[in-house]
Amino acid sequence: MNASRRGQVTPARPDPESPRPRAVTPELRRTAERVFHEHGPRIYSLARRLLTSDADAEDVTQEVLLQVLRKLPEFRGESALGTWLYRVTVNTALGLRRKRARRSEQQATGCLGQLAHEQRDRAPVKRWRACPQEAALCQEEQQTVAAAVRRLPELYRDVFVLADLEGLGNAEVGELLGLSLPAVKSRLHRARLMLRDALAPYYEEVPA
Amino acid sequence: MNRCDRVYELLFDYVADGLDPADRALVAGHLDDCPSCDAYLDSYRKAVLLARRLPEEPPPPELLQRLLAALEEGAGGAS
Repeated sequence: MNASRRGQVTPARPDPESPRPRAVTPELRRTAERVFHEHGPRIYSLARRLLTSDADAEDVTQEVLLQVLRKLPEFRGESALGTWLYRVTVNTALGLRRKRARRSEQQATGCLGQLAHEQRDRAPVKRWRACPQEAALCQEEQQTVAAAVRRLPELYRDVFVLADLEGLGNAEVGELLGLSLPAVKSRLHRARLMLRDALAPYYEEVPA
Repeated sequence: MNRCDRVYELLFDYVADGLDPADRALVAGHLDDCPSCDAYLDSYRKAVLLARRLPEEPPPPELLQRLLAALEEGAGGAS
């Protein structure tokens, strides 16, 4: 995996099992471009949500796309490829994080603030303004909400991203992350509570 | 533990419709009487809905050049 920065052209480390050197034929180039446009956004988006760095998400996306290109002939249906993509993207992203030793219980607990409802002298909860379900988020809202998701501690963000943003079932999330079902539910609940608290200042109704 | 704290504990399963009838009735009854918990539940749901409306983030276009460069290096490829 490369510690590359945005904009730099840095090839991935060659896989010893791959035949090389290998010229990029026009056909392979077209396939790579198609795979990039068809699957790149989904892979990058998931990696970007699991990781907090653009460069790391790019590295993971490149690594997964290379694996897609290698395995493409084995997939006969979009659904099989989709399931596989999730698994490989999650595993590659978490593997990178482990490799860089960024993940630790200490960090997770260190990030945790006390939730609003746990405070001893909590104030009455203010109602939030309407958030129409169909309306697209404006640019400012996108930045606010995305930043709040990124600030979730990794232990909770992983579960939240997979369950609530990607729509996987709790059992599937547990399988991907190696967690029991109660642990998934507990972390998901905690993530939602933290996200709610982070967004409250932006969405609470202001008294007239 | 007061009633509000108990409701906060049950919120996840309440939203997922995973409570037994007795706990569900407890939460629903409390929400009718407690504007603060009702507002909290509303904001809990809205926070998740807002996050779900985040658009997909496209990869930077230069990543395609990196991918092609990696293929040139023999790091992968379709047959």
